[in-house]
Amino acid sequence: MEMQIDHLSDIISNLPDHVIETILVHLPIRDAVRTSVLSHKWMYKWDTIPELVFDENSIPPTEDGTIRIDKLVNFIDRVLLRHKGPVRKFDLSTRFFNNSFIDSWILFLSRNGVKELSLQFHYTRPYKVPYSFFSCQAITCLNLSCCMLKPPSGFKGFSDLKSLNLELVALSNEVFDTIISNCITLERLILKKLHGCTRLKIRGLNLQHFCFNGELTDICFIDAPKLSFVSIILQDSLFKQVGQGESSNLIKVLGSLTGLEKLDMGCYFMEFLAFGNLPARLPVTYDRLKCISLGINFEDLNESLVMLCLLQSSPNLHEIEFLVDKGVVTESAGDFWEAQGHLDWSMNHLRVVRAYEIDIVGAQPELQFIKFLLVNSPVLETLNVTPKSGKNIDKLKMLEELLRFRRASASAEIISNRNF
Amino acid sequence: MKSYIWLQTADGSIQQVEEEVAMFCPMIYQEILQTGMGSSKNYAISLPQRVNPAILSLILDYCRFHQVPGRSNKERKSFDEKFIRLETKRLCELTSAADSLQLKPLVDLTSRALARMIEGKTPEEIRETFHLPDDLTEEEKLEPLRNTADDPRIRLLNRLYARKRRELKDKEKLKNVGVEEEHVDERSVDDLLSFINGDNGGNPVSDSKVVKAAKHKKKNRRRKDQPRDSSSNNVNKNHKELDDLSSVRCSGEVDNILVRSPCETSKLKNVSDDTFAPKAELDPATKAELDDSDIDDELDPAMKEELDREVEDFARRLNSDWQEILSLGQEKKLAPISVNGNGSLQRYTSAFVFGWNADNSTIHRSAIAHIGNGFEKMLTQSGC
Repeated sequence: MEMQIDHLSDIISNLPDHVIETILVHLPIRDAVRTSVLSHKWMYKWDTIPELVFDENSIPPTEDGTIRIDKLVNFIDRVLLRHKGPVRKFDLSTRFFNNSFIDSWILFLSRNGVKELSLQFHYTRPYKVPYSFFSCQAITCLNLSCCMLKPPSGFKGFSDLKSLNLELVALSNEVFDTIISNCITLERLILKKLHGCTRLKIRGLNLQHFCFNGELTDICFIDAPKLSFVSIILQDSLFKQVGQGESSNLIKVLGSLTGLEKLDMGCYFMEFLAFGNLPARLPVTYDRLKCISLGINFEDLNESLVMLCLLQSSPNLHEIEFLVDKGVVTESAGDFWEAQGHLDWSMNHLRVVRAYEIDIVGAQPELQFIKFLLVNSPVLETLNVTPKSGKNIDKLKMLEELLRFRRASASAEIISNRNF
Repeated sequence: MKSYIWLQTADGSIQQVEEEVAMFCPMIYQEILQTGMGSSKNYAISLPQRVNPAILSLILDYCRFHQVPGRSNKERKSFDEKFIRLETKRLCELTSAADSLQLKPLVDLTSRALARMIEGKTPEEIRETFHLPDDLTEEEKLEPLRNTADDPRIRLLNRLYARKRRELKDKEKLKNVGVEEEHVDERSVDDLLSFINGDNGGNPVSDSKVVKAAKHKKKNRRRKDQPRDSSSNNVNKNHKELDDLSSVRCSGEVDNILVRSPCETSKLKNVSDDTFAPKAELDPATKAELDDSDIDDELDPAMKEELDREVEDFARRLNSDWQEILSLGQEKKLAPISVNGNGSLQRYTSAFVFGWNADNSTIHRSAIAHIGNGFEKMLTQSGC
């Protein structure tokens, strides 16, 4: 039997520092800090962890489940005071406070080269970030929720920014412009419920992913050749109040996005695109566009025209998903889709169609559209239809209707889902 | 024809490995590229010392699985989960070896596993798992802020406070037998001590309140130092004022101090925190600096005697000059805390870290003066 002389030896403390850091980074901050009482060697090992993530679980709640905010603030203060070396990532997420304790932490971070900064507040008043925030020039990943951005006059943006995620953030058009325009490295841009910023000029040579949800009066994309994912959900039709001029929104938004792979448009956005002078055709083709998802009001002629333009310019479309919206009609579509009939170009790659909120009572234009799709898609595999919610639609009747339509694809399956 | 790479571990033994498997390790890959070694037995690549044959075969198993391109993420995850079911010693060796071979995904995997072994455990449990020596002195365990001088005077003050805290607790126990929870006690005492230490959070608006409460608090303490019998009234008042204090301290800045929140932390965490408190193990960042009630119990009796005597002496000296110091402190000019343009505050650290007089004889005066100073600074701190 082997004498295990060293079976009691300390096996972990002598790992290289960066390995210990990796271990500590995978611990919640409380546990990481507690390692300082393990042994002599461990007293200061946690001081250099490059990632600091704080939330309400970072301190134990009291017996009755309440969180002592002063204790949390205290805790963060001490951790930052003891910390040595650069802070690569700082995450703070809390529902309860967002006042100027945080200012001093941001100052600390700006002096320690923070690269990934995430401040998630859920408070009634937005947190006004201090000026030192704008001198965090090393930032690559910024995630703000419930904040207010008012930079000093010399602010020129974050030149290394790769990912920007703003939710419930108050900032002016100019500030947004400043942040975006000097930032060639930006790859991901997510904007939700912004306040004060309704005119967006998106430019980004490296921009790949764009997501918007909120209110706009104007948006255009300039120089975004790599943009492959665009999702815009417009919550209001404010844009109508602004004069349109000669331009067409459709061209302004989609006219240069040749790299598109997935397009997602919701609520009022189709209406927005339909605003202005519509072209007969789009000037570009979207060779890489595989998937379109949108909400469309088939009764409006302009929106239907937009849809047709899109379909015409997307020869490689695999999947269409649409939701039937009812709304303001500027010009009635009438029998627009019926009139299209059999096209001289067919959608040679369309495999899946998903339709939501379909109504079969009356001569509904969406049924014409479905007919149109069926006739022009030779390789269609699935047509998935969900009837209009709120109405008691006879599923059988709907299926009967749909099955009557002529199909170009012999293998097309027509599936109907329940009402929601 | 399959090509093989020859690897030599520190103990001299040589192994033959399929090329694509070996190349999965960046370090081996570099070696091959840069030096051309490894193609034959005589020119085997020397692996770093941290890689022994048993660990090497584990690593090669990992590489063999993951270098196959067609595997799904699910498959890989499943393999990983089974792979790291090793005993602790092996896991540490594996981490070390993977690091020396620059195999970052494996280092990540093993680090996560090790982190899981640490998370939520008490220090004793962690020491047990990893065979760590329990070699911290009590002072080190309780010192959350780095102090270059392991000052005996600081130690004495710490003991003094520890004793005071225990006394308070005892009084409280006498008053409410079993009704009041220990935790509530702790908190109030924490507030007391952190208030004395000058925790950040002074509120200019309620300065007068703070001063008044502070005065009362000091008076109470003095009374306790003399005959041990203090009326429960004192204790009550003390606690009440402390509570007022804490709410005063915070209400200016924070709208909701105590907020109901779903208890998301596991029971385990709370339990371990409870077991923490009474022992000398300290959670330095979340407890007040001097929050250890039973450090004295860890010392052997002779030491304890001596220290007790020292503490008594110290306390006596403190108390005799208390009134004097109080008046002194208040006459001193209030030093404002500077606020720089960005609106951030200078952080205020513990009074005791400030310079002490080297001369032993004047220790108690300077100590008190500094405490007094600390007080004033606390009071004049502008709210955030």
